[in-house]
Amino acid sequence: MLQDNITRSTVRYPDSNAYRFLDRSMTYQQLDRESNRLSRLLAELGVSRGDRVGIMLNRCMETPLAVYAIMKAGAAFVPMDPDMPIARVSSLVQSCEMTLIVSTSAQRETLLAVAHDLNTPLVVINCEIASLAETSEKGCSFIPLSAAQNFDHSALSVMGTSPSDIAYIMFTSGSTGAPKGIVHTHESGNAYARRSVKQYGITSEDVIGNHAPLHFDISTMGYLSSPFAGACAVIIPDAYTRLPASMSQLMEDERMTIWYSVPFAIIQLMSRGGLESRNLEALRWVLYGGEPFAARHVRALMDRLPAIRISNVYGPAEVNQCTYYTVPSDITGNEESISIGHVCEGSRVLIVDDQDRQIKRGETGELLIASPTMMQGYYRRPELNRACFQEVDGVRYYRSRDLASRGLDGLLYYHGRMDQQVKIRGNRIEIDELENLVMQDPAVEEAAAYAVSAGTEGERVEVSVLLTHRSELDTKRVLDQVAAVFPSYARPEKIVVRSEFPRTTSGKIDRRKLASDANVR
Amino acid sequence: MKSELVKFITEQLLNNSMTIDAERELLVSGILDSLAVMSLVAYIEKSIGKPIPPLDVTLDNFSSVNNILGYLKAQGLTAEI
Repeated sequence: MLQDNITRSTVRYPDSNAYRFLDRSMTYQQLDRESNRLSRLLAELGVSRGDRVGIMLNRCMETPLAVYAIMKAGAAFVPMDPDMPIARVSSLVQSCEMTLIVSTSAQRETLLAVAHDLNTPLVVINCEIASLAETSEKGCSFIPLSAAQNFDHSALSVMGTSPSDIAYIMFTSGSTGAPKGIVHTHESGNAYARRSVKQYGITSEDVIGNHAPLHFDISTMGYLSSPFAGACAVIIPDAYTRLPASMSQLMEDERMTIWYSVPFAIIQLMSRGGLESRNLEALRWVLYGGEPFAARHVRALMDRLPAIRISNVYGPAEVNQCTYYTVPSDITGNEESISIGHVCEGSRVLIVDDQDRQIKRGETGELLIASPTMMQGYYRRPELNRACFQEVDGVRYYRSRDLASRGLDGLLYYHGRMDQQVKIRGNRIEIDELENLVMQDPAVEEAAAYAVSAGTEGERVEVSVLLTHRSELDTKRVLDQVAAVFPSYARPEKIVVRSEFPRTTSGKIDRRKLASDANVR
Repeated sequence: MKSELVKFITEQLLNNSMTIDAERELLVSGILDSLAVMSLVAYIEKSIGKPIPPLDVTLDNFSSVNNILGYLKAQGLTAEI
């Protein structure tokens, strides 16, 4: 079980830091004991084997505590983005039949609204430090985290647990209809922890910069792999992710040895983080993933940090990484794209054409992935699961819907999505869902959404529309509708009214042309 | 400059979705995201006609309009309190 990694690291390195957040430290022994206490509180509140418990927290020290306490209680943790609109929170709570969420009083309004919306009582473990009393209002009970102190720090015993139990469910962007929950078991989570520790040579001496929030699968290195090795993971505070100079200062102060984030965070560090003024001699490896990183940026990073290994990590959240590539020091920066490298140990890929036949070297096709780190399936979506898995020669593959090729050099290359999914600063957006929502507006005849570059500032979503006959666009009305359903990174900055759309030869809207028109503007 | 900053933040960065005053904490609270912080720095640079050193864009200096003014004053870039 994933929590066995905590137990083992506590035996070996009881007084070593497991996590750091601002000026707070938590050793393995503290993490072990406090998560035991919290797991007992959760059990007392009715959490039992197989339940789903939400974690709706901004980056904080309580996150790893909640992760391990929930698993120790035999349940699965469900990360929830605190910025999610209420409708999405409700949808998630409902699909998971969640009755308990670890959160803070900062989320009070949202949680009350959800409890009211679903007409279901919610129990909230309130991690707000200043909160000492239990409060109850309109179907929501807020129990202070400090209540866990009433319980013993020894391990709770839960009957019948097994590595095939669900450890966590990560929901991906899916706004209209039910969001898709990626189900990982203790087995798949541990396969990732074990493999990544081996792959990156993570030891108890390592200090990992954990940039990603819990609801992002990149965070599994900080929350699962780090304890596997007895290393320390530094949780980057939310405010610092907006202040690159503070983030680089933290890298220096904490003597981080490994950094793992989306490319956007690295671009911020390079353009505004004052890296040249920082002592980063402890840093040995920079890993990036979640979306492609332009070769010119990688070249600039290598020039800035010449002694450091830089690797591109690829893999949909459904498989929790399956290839990686250590970028060679002689790249020019003019390459069209950087390879995604080789398949990780224990994983396999196939590249197939639209008839599911394996393609020849150099040709592009859909990437199918088999990995011990892959999800069990989408949560309670049997039809989706039937469609997204494919058995080939007795091996179960996941259909990534990513386009890839294997070069003559034997390396794998990524060629974008087969469908309309787009990533903004590493976050997935289902373009057709956004477009469908905008098209619900009475003034809109057709809508097309696409990502536009904002230079070093990353990317933004923009939407172009054709209006219905003699209509005027009420931009605010449309944007408000979108904001009610989509998280902030998916909200368009602008709605551009056009008289017609550029189209491909097959008559489909040419979103690439719309995006390049916008980039020129 | 204080009122101009408050106006810029409220209208351009927050799209009038909420009101803030010069004392309001903007960063830890999450009121401003990464892109908003960048836009704010760019706006201030344009107003004062000088670039702001990236290393100066820290929590202490930028967490509220009052703190920004305090930082600018300490740099000799504005006479306003």
